[in-house]
Amino acid sequence: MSFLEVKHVAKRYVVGSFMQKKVIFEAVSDVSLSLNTGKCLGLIGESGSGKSTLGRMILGVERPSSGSITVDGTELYGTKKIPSAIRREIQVVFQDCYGAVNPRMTAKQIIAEPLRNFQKLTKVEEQAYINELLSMVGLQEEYGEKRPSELSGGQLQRINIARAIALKPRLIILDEPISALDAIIQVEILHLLKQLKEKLHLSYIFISHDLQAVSYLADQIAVMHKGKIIEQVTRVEELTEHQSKKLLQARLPTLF
Amino acid sequence: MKTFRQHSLLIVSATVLVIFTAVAIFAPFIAPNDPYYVDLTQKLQPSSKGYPLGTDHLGRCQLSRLLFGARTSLSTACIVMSITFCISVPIGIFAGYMGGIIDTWFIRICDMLMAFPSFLLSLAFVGMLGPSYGHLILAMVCVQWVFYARFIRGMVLSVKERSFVMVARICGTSPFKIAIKHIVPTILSSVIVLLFMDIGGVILSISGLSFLGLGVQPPNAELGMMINDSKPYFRSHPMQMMYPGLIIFFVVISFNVFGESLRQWLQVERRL
Repeated sequence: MSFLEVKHVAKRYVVGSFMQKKVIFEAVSDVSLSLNTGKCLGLIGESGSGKSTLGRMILGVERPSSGSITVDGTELYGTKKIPSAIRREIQVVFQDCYGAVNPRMTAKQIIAEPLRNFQKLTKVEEQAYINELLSMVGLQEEYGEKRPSELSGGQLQRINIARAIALKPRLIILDEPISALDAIIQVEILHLLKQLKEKLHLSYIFISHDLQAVSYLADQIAVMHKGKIIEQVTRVEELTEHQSKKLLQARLPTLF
Repeated sequence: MKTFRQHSLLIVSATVLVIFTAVAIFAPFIAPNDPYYVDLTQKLQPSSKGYPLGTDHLGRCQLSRLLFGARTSLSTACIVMSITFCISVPIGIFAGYMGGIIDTWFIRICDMLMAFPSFLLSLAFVGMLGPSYGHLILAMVCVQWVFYARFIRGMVLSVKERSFVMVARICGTSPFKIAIKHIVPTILSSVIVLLFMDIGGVILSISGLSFLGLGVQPPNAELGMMINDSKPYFRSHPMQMMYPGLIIFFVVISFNVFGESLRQWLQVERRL
């Protein structure tokens, strides 16, 4: 049994308010996938294809309308509140690095937030661990004192990654983590992610519409279109469906 | 110098407010006479050495009463605003953060309360409960809190959608901690600006209710009540009415200007 099992998951929204005709909009319909520890699943698709909604459901912040998600054999939405043992296993890195941090906190406080929720560390231990995390993501200790407005996008995304790995989770959802960065920084962050994945035995779900980045990091690739997974392959070259090819064509010129 | 010119309105209005507040706080030490001492032989006197602004219809020192009146108005407004703040912040955050059926009912109640003109509603409150200082504060708070709670709810709804709140949830932060650590600091400046922008209106309402005899009760000095007291003499002694009126005018206008320039300075969006 895989670490993460998503079975027949769907998410429906009812659109239309009081006295209006109600329309059901299905953002994700009947999606099944599984992921083993230490693997990376690339989830690609155009905007609005439901990949971020699927990501949010796996993160435990959006209850699916039907279907089940199990993490390590435990049903994620089985109880009203997600069990804290599972809660800490799945973390996230968002695209918008400035929006994902409270602008009033220092980098150190940002990284410390998950630690304070789950671990009782003394001030000295916490400080030492935060410094260790900062060096793991390639930042010097003095960056801990800076606020988001004093950091560049790439540095801030490293802080976000440090926060995501702070609890030693087993799965990190990367929701377009490099789309907002410029090309050189994108490569650096991708290297960092790959390095961390091997070092910490992390699983990733890498949500993106950039095939080039996905093919660098992913062990398997799933293509989403209109809320469904239309194709699952292990290498970009194996994509056959028309919709996937369209994505491929749109991206390939930047490859070479 | 440039910063002074940019923030001149803020500085001027803040200075005026600081002076008013200082005068209100130190009224017992500044006032030349006892504001409650009635001496009918001295009634409606013009300015003199003993009574710098003359006396009212009961021979009480006009200046001392103005100082104590400003004290009453400002302190009442501050009490009303603090209670409103303490009630509306938790309710607004709760409704906004929980969403769903709680939020729907909250909005229904707000719509109901906001459908009445607020001054009339507080008038009705005091009218039913009977005129007294405590009831005045209660009525003002009952009418005020809805506007703030609704405003705060709206802000919470937009802050809630920011990704750092979602990340905090994923990090395992409890809803209570999210409210304290992420939501309150984010919305606080806007709420404070709103409080300052409205405090002038509250002072006006308090004076208005006291003018109608429903607020602060005699013999306590209050600006609105002083205007009412001087009503019968306003042809023969117009300054009796002018002094409290001018003070209300200046206090309210400086609060409004201060609130507005504070808003511009902190770049808080105007909503509601």
